[in-house]
Amino acid sequence: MMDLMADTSPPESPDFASSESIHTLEWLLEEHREVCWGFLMARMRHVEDAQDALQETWIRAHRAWPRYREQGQFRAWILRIARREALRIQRKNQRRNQGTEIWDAAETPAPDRISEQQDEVLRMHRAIDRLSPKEREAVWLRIVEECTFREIAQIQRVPEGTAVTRVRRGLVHVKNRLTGDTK
Amino acid sequence: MNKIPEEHEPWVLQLKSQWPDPGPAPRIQPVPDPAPRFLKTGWAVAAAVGLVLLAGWWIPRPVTASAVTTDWPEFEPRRRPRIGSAPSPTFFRGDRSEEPSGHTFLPARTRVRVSSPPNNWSTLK
Repeated sequence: MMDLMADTSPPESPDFASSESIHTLEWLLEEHREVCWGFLMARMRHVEDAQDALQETWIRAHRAWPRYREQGQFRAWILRIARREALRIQRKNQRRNQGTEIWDAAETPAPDRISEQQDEVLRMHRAIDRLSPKEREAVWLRIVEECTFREIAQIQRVPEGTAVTRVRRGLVHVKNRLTGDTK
Repeated sequence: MNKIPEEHEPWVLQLKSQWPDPGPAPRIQPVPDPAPRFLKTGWAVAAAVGLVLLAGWWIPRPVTASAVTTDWPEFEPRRRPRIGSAPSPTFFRGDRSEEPSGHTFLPARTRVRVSSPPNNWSTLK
């Protein structure tokens, strides 16, 4: 996915409470709605929780907008807010969501109807599913969203080296599960 | 963009294309406009004034030196024996060292004035 930040950085506006500034925020949020949704689903794997987190992210973004000083890094800023909301909601709903996943068994076709290609996709999904949330998040940001390691580090609030390690470890785990090497 | 070695492997491209589709993003409920700035400022000012009033009511005023020196009432002896009558046994006119127990010592300046003995003093003896 192309980096939206090149053309979407908000203007240097001293008055963040002005209607013009709020319109800028609304526009930026709309531009990043799909990114946030993909991130939240990769992180949470639960549709209702991800919807709640997305809504909360929008509210938090409006509240935090007057303090927004990261010109040109809106994607990292909004994903950091989304991650915080995801963590909060996951912590709150931890017991309720045990065993409920986005890719549950009901969506898996019967074995006799699975083609070789479908089988490959299913194995890929299962391999992704078994990653830890932090690793899955980092791999999604790097591979799907093509974030830089610095952005991943900003979003996950970790040093850049930790972000590199998480991506690398996540990829190794997926590869091992795809090849059947579970060491 | 610098890539780690694992990213160069062909299956990583497959990973990107086969990542589970989260579906379309849901619509967001409109977020209410934040309160206008003057309202926020008004609340802040009201809270500050309230705190100052509360502090003024709650914190006791400091005692000044003038209050200490001027608030004392003038000294008045509790009982002033009538002139001419016998002194009350509760008062002792004498030195502090001679103060008997159970009696109240009066400072020298408050000593009871005793009238002169009656004219027939000698006859009474």
